[in-house]
Amino acid sequence: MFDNFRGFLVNDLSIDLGTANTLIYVRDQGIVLNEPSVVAIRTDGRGEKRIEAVGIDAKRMLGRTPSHISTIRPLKDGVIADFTVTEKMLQHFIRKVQAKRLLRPMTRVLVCVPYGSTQVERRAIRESALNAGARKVYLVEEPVAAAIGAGIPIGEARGSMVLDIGGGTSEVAVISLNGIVYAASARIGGDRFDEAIINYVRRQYNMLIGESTAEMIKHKIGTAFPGHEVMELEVVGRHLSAGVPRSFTLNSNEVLDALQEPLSGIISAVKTALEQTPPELGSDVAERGIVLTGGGALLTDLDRLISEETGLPVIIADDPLTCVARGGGALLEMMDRKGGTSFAID
Amino acid sequence: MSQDQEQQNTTEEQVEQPDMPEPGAGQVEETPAEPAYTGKTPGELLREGREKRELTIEDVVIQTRMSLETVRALEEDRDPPQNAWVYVRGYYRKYARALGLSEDEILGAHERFVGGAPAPEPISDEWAPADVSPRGGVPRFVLVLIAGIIFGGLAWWLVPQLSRELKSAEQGAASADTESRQTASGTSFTVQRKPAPRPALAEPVIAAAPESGDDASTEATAEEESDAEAESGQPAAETPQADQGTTASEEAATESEAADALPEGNRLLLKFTERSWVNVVDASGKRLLDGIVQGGSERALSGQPPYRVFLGYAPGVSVSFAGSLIDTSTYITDNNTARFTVGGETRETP
Repeated sequence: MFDNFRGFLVNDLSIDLGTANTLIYVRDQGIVLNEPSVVAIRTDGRGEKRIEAVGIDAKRMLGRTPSHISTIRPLKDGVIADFTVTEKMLQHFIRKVQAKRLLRPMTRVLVCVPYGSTQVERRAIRESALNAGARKVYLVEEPVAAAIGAGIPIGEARGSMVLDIGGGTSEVAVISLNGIVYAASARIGGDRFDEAIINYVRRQYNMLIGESTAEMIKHKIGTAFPGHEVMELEVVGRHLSAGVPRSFTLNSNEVLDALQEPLSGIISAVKTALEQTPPELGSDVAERGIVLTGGGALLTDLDRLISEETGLPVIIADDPLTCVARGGGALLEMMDRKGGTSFAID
Repeated sequence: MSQDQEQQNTTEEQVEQPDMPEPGAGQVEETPAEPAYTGKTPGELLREGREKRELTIEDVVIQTRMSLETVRALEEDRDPPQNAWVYVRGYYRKYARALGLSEDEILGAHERFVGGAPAPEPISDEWAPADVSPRGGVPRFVLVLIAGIIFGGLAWWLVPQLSRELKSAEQGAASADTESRQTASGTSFTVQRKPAPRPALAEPVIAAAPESGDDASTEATAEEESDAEAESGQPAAETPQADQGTTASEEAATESEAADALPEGNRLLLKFTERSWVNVVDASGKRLLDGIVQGGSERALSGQPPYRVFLGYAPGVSVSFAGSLIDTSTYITDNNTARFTVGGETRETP
């Protein structure tokens, strides 16, 4: 009874404000929104700008817009690149997940931020959430939220390593006793994978492909470890010399070649984390293994690559894409039980 | 070797325990294409899979990088040293993948074995330092009291107004009705009062549907379903809605029945002994099969010959057309792929 009444007055949201996708977890409802972090803006004749589309509708327009409409990805490398557009996007998403009522409930928002983000970047995220309609904003570091969402018992006096590969950043952290012992954030993620594919195609085939095509190639035939199956995909791009659209066939081994550079960046971040981890915790990690979360974990055989490079077991969390948002939701519930949490920062 | 025998004995003893859950045992038909849950424990399935591939426990340890103790624990259906559910599920998934078994099947067997999906451990903040941030100064009951007063006031103010508006609306509707009746008796153009508003109302509902149901997962499920339909070659209308309770064996049985129903003349049969990527296009350019197929299954395709076939791992696939087996060994390249054409006059093109 009291919970229902409370739910009428207060609305708790956990937001994973990612470079590629924004996910919103609503308390007692689960993940209710998972849309690309893309905004399409229309500029009218007088130079005034207004939001044309947000999320999945805007992503469909990416690279296909006339001159008076521009599609923007307001987050870059896990942090806000365009403050105003981020604010509008958040506003849109929060309104979308809230039931239309006469009295708007008080919205408490927990936003996950990259570990390496600066005070200025965190403040930008906080302000942006407040301006989007939140009454209270909590910030939590992504590796902690990812670990909680994955179901790692981080309260134990044992080391657990989590590697969260998002769209803009990859975060690696060693956690014990509910605290981060070591964490690092590399500005490498799914976007860098796409860029690497675009560059490879331009270099090898003299063809130009768009971001959406590169992402599609990554999803369909992207792999991180050489397997015994070769997958092929027919791709259409613009020939740089002839200037006309042409199709060509790309196979998974070529995509693997293209992804070598960003993948080695992630591997070296993991190796550095293992080097910096105190020996007792290092042995715990060696025994338990590394838990992979984030959309990057869905890249075929990425766990195998990290396993081969580090010699440790690497396991992929259940539903890795939503771990951060679900972890944030669990923290919100804990806040209610205890009246606060030590995980929230600032 | 003796260790293996010992483990086998231990597992057999565990299987004989009377309280071991064996749901669906004997009800589900076992098919060679995709073995279903037959009441075997996950450990038994893993051990059988390993022995079938002639691997030792040490081979699995090297391949998966899990500790020897963990691998043994999994095969003996004991809790591994790291018994948090995220690790246990991860280990089962990793082991299954290393053996080329279905991850879902092993995880499903594990869930049945332990009696349902394991619940995530609640996170605790007890080790964390005390929260020093100031709490909200207003006690909760005061907030509830204030909210109650506000709602009471609003109700007191809104209810009479609403009832007044409702009455006036009813009166307005009644007068409009009488007016229209009067006009209808005089002229004929008021006959335009057709039930037109109904479709006009229906349109926004359809348009709003994707917004209200903006769950990306539903879209993804729909796509997956449509993919599955495309693979099986059955029309969407005939395919029943995906049922969670459907077992793998039932799917395989349906598949083989569908394969038998195809005409023998144009039928292309692909038998997969290993997991392989495959792409089959018929003469009309229609893509009959495209994607990874697990080992131990078979696909029967029918279309307009000749078929253009590309196999990602040709040694693991046997191809037969119109009942006769085709020798693919001559087309296998260095990287184990094979590309050839089957059927029609131009039977083979390297």
